[in-house]
Amino acid sequence: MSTQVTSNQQIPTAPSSSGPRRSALWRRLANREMALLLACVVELIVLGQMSPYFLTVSNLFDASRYFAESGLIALGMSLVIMTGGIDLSVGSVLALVSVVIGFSFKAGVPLELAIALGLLTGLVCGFFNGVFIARLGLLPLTVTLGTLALFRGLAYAITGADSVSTFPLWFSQIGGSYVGQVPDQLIFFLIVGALVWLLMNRTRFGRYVSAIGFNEEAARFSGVPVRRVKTAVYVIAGGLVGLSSLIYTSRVFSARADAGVGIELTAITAVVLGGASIMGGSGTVVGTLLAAFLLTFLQNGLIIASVPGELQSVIVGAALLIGVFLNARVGRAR
Amino acid sequence: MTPATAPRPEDVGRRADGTVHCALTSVTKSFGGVTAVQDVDFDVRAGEVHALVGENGAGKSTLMKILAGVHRPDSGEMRAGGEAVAFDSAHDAEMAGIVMIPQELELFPEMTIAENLVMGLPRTRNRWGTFDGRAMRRQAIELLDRLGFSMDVTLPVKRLSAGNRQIVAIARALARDARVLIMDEPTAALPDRDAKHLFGIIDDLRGRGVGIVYISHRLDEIFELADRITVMRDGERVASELPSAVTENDLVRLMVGRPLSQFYARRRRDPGELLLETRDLGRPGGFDGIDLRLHAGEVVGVWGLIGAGRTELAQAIAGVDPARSGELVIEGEPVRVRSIADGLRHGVVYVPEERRSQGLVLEHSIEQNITLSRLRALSHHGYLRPSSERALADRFAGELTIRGAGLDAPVNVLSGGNQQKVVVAKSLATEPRVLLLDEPTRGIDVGAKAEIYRLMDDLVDEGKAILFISSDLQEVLAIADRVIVMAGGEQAAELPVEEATAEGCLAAAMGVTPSVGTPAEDTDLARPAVAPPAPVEAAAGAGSRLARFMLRPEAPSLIFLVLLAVVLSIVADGFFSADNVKSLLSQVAVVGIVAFALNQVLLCGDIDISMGSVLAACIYVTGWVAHAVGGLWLPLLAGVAAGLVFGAINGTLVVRAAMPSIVATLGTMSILRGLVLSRNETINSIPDATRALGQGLGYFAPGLIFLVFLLVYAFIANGTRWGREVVALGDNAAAARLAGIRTGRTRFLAFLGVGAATGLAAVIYLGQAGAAQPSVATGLELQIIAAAVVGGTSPMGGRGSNVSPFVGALLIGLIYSGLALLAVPGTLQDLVFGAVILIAISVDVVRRHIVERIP
Repeated sequence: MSTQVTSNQQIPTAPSSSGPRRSALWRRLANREMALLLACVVELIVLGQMSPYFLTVSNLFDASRYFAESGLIALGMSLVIMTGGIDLSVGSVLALVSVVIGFSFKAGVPLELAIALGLLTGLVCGFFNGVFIARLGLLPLTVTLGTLALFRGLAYAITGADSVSTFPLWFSQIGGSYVGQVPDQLIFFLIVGALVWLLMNRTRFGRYVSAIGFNEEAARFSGVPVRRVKTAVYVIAGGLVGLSSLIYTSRVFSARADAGVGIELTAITAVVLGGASIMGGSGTVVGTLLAAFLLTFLQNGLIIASVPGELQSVIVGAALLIGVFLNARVGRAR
Repeated sequence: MTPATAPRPEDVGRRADGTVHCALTSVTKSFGGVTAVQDVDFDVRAGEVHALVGENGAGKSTLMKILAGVHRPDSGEMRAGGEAVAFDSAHDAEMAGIVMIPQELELFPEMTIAENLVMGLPRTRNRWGTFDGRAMRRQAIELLDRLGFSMDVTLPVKRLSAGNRQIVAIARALARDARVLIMDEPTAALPDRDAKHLFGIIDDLRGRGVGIVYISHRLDEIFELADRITVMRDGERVASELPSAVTENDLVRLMVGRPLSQFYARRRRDPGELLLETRDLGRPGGFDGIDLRLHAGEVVGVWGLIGAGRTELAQAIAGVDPARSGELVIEGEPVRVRSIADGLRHGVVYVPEERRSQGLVLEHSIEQNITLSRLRALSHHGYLRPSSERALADRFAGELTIRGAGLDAPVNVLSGGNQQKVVVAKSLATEPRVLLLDEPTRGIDVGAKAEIYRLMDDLVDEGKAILFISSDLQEVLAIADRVIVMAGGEQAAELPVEEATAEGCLAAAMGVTPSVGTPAEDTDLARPAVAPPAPVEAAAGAGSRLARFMLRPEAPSLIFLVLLAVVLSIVADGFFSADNVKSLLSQVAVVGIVAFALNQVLLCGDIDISMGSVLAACIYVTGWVAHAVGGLWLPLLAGVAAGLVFGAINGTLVVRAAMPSIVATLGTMSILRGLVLSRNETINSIPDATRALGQGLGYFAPGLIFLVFLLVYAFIANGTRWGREVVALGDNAAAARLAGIRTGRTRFLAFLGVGAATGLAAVIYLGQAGAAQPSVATGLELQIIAAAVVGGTSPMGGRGSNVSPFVGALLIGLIYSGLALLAVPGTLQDLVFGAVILIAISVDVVRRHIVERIP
């Protein structure tokens, strides 16, 4: 029955030129990022209809100032979620970094050094999470639930019930100056976003992250240093929270231990809305960025259209559910 | 030799009383173009043992899975009890009296013997709609007694030896009134004594008219037990014989039959220098005393039955799971390979058997898969060089003629054979000198197989060495230069291919002919006839009492809880005063009640993070009703009803809309909180009647409700079908489905439970506080989750216990009350809280470590 098999081997290999490659790329874009982009446009138009002030250049730039704070955290979160993990401690890290900056400055450390200490704190917090998760093999949800309390507890332990709100004037520039009409934070955020995009799409590390997220075992069998990559992902997430905290502290011009409560939810919403699967693997930096924009504009537009601020979380929650629901349907239809 | 000449099974060995229990006629089944079973007739009669033999991959298991309702045949007829049937699931087949005991036993490891035995059966219920454990245990003891066994039926199955698990599986099948019992290699993992015992049981069942299909590779057993023997090869039935009409050698010949030379012609090879050598290599539980020599330019075949330790050996050499003893020498240098990366550095690459789970990232492109192990060389300071990557992928994809898609297509669109080529291409891209191929041709079609063989020839021509693991003996004999036969983790024989015959290898692996050299198996033949089934003593293995205690997931936090209580009672005055205990219970009531309900959700493998918002919403509903009508009952009813509605919404999103539970409940959390906030309303001046649950009985009411809830919960979790289904689902989801559990319904009910509990907790909360603001209970979900998981329940499902939330809630309550008693500043509370959680879950790592050490 098998004598003929050897003779009919001459089936041509499918061409691997750039033709089908580009169209494949286009199809993938069309499915996730384009849908998000379209949603952004529709959102801008609708919100513009609701308030004439919304679609002004100054307002859009003004709104974009807030991107940086939640957007940076969402970027880090997207890496974490892509490895199949989650980080609930980001809000607490934000507070701790802010407090370290403020209180070390108050204790007489030069502000430049205090900022460096703060950013280092973010990295150390991430490393702490990473060691528990990647080395000890504990579940990300449980570990970061613990560090959520621990890091905020540290922040409170440092501050007592106190806060610091006397900084040199230049400190406010970090979170409040413009290049032309464009706020600094937006530029900074876009640069960091581009760097993270490069990291995920152009480097070995990015490939490892994605491989681990889709199939951790296969990654391990391929010689990928799984533990090291996973630890690094949490360190990067911690570092980005540090940057976010710096901008936040500068904008509100004070360091308090109750900063950033609940910000993990906004970040997770942005990542999931951006097309990442909570099970790991899929997800793109561009998707997360677009979703972060979508959410920020939504919140800003609703404020301007004088929708009660409290209803915003209703709309954000609904957007999340609808987005995920559609996402699953689109995935299934293909 | 064609199947047509084989006598139909029903013509062989007809017994006078042989009612046919079930029969398959011309059954065919293929998977993705590969025919697994072709045009096979098979039947099972009352009171017979029908042995089914054949090589791995001959189609035996597939045929039996068709009979047992796991697979649906593509064509052919099935009859059971004289009627034509078509099974949709294994559950259907069980209802028809056909029960399969698969190789991978479908038991629930965390559940007790008794629960395993009755799972999925109609249960003895009392008029409350629940069942009592005593009846279940009695039933279990009776079932085991029928087999001549007595065990402690309250032991979890995971603590049993392989043999005792087999006994439990048989008892489980009997509990289903099996008329046909299919046993797939039941003795593969059994020590001789237990095997003898098993034969006694089989004999007994046969005497009672049960029809038994017996699959085994051990021919001596076949001749001891069988009334009829059917041989399968390449998916077809090649013979059905009476044991008296054939010899062992006849069977072996029938099993191996087909010469491979039809599509593969061996090339001449000249082995060169020694590339890799192992000296007395061993790993407990895997293999032992392996001396292996691999030369450049040769293929060494490793053949053995499943469980012989072949994969373990290859993985140890490659650094997947390093060896514990012995030496590994690569190109003359003794080396230590501690990780896969180490192996790759030394030019050793392992090509895994499980290509979809271990070999490929299915969603990545062909190119990305091929280059994954080589990225270090393809990047500059970590930055990938796309052109080098493409060149490498192009080269190996071309060498292996991967067909069906371009390099940018995801691997999951490829056929099995082409996927296998990607796996091989990936390993070749690492430029290895030694390849360890684990079942490289399993599950791929003949054409792709031939290509893999030719590729192996090319590779050894280039001076590489190949260790070729296969279950297909013909294939090994056709391709390898030397054959190593493994059995029971040891090297049973090593033969140059000229001296190796299929019969000789089979004999070596099965211990048929002692002359081939299987000292370990010799005693097998001399097995003394064991006396009739003696009751086996309570399956031991759990070691000391301490060890048994440490097996419980809540053990670490319980120890922690006791230590904390002791410390607090020493350092804090009045810790054990009635007042303090009372207030402690009241404090943990809200968190504890919801944590108990959440525990069920977690056991199902889901999570709910909307509890804080649901609690707030329920508080508002309760408050409004209290203002409108006052009293206790209507507001209470309203609060619980609201909770049920929110629980149903969560359940629907997760089960019906198939959303990941963390995402779905994140959404509802956000929406509900927003709705509450948008009311911008403060609830206050709640009537005292409504506050009864919070401050009644001198503020003892919450603690009392908590204790009552605890009892109700214990009753629901242990005394109702749903409660046990939750545990079964988390323990082994596949087995739960096989047992006929409707998993969607089970999960939905768990969410409903959380909703109801949150509603109740809301009424207590409002009663305690007497007022509420829109931000009430923000972040409370974290405390509730912590209470459930710190007690030992895994938020990934399965592992956990019903005591867990109680321990967790008490621990959390204790921490807060201790902090208050010690007058720790409020600003330090979070710090202590977080540290304690982290310590508690880290202790679990230690616990698991200890559990692994227990024999």
